[in-house]
Amino acid sequence: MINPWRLATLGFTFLGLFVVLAVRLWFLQVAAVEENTAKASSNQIQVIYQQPTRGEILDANGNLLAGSRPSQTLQLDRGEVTTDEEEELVQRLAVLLGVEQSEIRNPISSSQPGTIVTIARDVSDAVAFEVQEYQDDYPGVEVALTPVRIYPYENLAAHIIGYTGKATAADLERYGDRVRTDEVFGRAGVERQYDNVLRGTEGAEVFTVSADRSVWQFSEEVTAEPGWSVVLTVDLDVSRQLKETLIAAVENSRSQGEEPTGKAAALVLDATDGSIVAMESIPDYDPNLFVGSLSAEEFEVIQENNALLNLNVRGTFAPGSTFKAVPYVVAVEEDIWPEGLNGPNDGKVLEPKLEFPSFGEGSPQVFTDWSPDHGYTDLHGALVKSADVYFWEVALGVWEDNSKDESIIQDWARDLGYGAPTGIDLPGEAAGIMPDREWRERLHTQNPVAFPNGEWYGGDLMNTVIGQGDLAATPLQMAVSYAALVNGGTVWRPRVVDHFVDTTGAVVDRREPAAVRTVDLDPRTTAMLKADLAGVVREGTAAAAFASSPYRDIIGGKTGTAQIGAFADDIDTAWFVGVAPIADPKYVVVIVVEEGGGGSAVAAPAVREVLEYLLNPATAPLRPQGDVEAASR
Amino acid sequence: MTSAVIRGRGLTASAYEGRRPDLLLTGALLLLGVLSVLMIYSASAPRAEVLGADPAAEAQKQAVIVFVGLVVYGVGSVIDHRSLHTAAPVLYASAVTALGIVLFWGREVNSAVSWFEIKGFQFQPSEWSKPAIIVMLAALLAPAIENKIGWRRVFIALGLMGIPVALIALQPDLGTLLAVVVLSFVMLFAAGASMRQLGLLTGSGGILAWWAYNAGWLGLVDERIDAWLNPEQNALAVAFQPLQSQIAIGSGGFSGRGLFEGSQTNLAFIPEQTTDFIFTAVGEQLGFIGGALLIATYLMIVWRLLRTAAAAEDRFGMLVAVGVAGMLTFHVFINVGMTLGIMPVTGIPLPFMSAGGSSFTAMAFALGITHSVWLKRSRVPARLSTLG
Repeated sequence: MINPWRLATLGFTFLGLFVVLAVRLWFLQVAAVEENTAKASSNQIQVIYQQPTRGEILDANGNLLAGSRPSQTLQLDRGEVTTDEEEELVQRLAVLLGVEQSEIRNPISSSQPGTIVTIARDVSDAVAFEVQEYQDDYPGVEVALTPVRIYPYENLAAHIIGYTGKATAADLERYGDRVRTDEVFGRAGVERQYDNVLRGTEGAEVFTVSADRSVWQFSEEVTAEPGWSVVLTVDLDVSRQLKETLIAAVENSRSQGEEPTGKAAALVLDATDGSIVAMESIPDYDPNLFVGSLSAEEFEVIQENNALLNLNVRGTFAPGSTFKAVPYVVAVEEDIWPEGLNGPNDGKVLEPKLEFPSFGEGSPQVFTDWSPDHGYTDLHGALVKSADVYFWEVALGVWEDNSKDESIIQDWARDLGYGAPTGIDLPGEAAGIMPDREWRERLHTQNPVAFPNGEWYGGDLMNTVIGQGDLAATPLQMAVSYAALVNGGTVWRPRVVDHFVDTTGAVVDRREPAAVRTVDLDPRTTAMLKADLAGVVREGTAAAAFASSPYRDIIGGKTGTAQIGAFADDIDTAWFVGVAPIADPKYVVVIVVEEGGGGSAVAAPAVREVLEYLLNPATAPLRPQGDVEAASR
Repeated sequence: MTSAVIRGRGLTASAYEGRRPDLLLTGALLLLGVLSVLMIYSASAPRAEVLGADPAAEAQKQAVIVFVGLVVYGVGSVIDHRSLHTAAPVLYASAVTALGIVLFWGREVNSAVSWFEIKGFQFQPSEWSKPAIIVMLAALLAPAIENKIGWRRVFIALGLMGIPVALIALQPDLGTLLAVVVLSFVMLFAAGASMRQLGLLTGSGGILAWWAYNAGWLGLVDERIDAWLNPEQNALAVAFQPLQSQIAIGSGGFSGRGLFEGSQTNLAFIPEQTTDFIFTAVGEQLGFIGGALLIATYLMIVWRLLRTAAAAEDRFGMLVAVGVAGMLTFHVFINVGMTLGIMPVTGIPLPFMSAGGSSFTAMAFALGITHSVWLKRSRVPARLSTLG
């Protein structure tokens, strides 16, 4: 009937075809099951992320320093358009917005297909209307209200507040694939330090969608949690005064024939708890510049000026004579006196030149005091008149007294906060340098070429005690150490943030003042130092600056004129540390004007201005602390 | 009943064992019918529910179709296939006429004019043309001397095939067209066409196809073949269905996601989910086990059909059985191959599984008349009756 061979041929052919199907089925369902399962779920799940509202930053009196305003934003849902439609949209939107096509094309092409891309921010109502009214012409384009960061006071306190920007490589590493386009990150200052608190928790709506992207099922919703607001210890009014004074100080320096670099820093520290009342640094910047897109040129300018640098915490300077308060205290506490003297009230006529045997090889060296005639001087006079020779002899006393630790002064200084970050809640703090033998040797060992001499000499110690040589400190370290010296020995961890509030205004967390350590200071030493700091203002190096001040009698301070470089005859950095009220110290004010000239002439008058503002109840409460919760809303 | 009657005539049971209904074939058909209703329900209910439609509507319709199909199968089984031999020209002429009429009064679905719609009742003549052509060709080739067919008969066969093929090409319905060509070729091969004849047919067929392809006569075929060869580049357009289908089947894994749990199918990532892509729902929900068992079921039907061909008492019956086996294999291979991404997209249904009445009933009829051949097979089982 049928040829058996032909039947067999058909049979095996058919069988072969079915086997092919089964093998392919095996391949898809068993061999490639994981890949296909992953593809299937990504097909079906769509997540719409909800940006949480970023918390605000408020000053101690509730003034809004950083907040968010809604902005009309054009967004393109790339999932809703084809590539061809996208190209057409680019052209149409460029015309509508009056911009180059590339400005619209770039953000699209740098994003993932299927995502939502921001095309333009702050579009006018007319544009928004056009897009919404003629939706057919703008497929996939939506008008959304997105938050935009605002900094109402612009440059004021900018270095504390910081700024925000798009995710950097570091942010991506920190947050991984949770980073969304358009998400902002704190990039400096409090914005960065407390980014986790401010940013809140991202919300998400998870949908199961069908092939035409219509929502099939609402799977999950995680509500976005707005970030907490941050209330600073900073007082906006004091900041304003501080900034004006600082700018004026640089001008004043210039008018005196100096050539300041334009870099200057100033801060007001609460000596009773380590709070930063104000902190200004110039050159400065407007954080609003970083919102939206900053052009490369604009950024270049900011970078070149180092305007982003908060010199109070990141700038290190030779402190000059302001450092003398440290050897002053060490002399009293450790009972180290210049040759022939036995106590703080035991004086002698100081020669302007101090000759001492060379510590290394060669002929004896001579150090020359800045003043040719200090006359009869004891410890008090040495500080009031800022006599280098007296403190050099203290250093020599340490150096030559084998019963004392060679680094005893540096150890005291480190305890008071030098040579290490103070721990302020701002990013990027510098450690400064507190040099000693160990430090010198370490440098030499690490890099013998750059540091050929690994030896530490008595002359180095002598330079150190007058705030010169390798010694470098940040203005903040200076403020913290003075606060400790006048408050009885408490070294505060300085802080700019006082507490956090949630959206209801309730205080959710508080950053209590915290002491890094307490230095064991004899109260008599503190009292003595305070009296001598008052002496500086009343009759010493700062007498001229404070001569007409109504608060002259309740202010203490110390001048500093730090010589820069090897030829230390013409370039001086001006310092002044002011303390008030000196009897019961509340404020420590530090002002540094880089290469601004003498501390008495440039920095001291500036500090006087700030302290007078702080002490005058008519311009500001003595203790700038209102009802923060009430004021913050 | 049948066996009882036969026993009543005093014949031994063993001699008539093979004349009982083919339970494996019938059972396989029943299994497919039930599975079809189930899978159509699972593929259509969740979506219908969301749209506010009756979730069971499509499955209920299919249940009716399956019932009618089983009746058609039964009727086909009891028809003496020799009367079909006589009626072949009438069947053939009716099929060709219907194919001609549909071009004028038919309804266009998916850019092909292949449907009649009479009072909401849809009918697809091309589905029924397939068994008609099988019967016609079997009738034509049956008288030929075993293993030899004259050139004249080959050309007549070509002509008989060519008319409906041309009409189907005008719809156009490439899948059905290919099915008719392939089953005709298989029947010529079984009827004993020489290698020379078959070679000539293959050659001229190939040239014709190449010419039609280049002339752009095949319409969508071009882009479908491109999509088949380069699926990733066509992911959102033409290759969307097969790509999504593969993902769906693949995500089913070895044991499947479970009935009613196929998210790809339910979320409409698979268009034509109850018709051309019903195998996708099977693969996703019942996994490799379910898919392989379904393929095995088809293989068993084909085995029963070839066994029928071997046991047929006349050449007409044998050729019908071979033709139906060829048609079934072609449909299963092309359809399942398409869902698995190894065949380009052609709109042909999966026999006894895809939703639709014309396909199910026409296929059931074809299976029925083959069953009838089995029931009337020669008393002495053929040597190769156990083939497969």
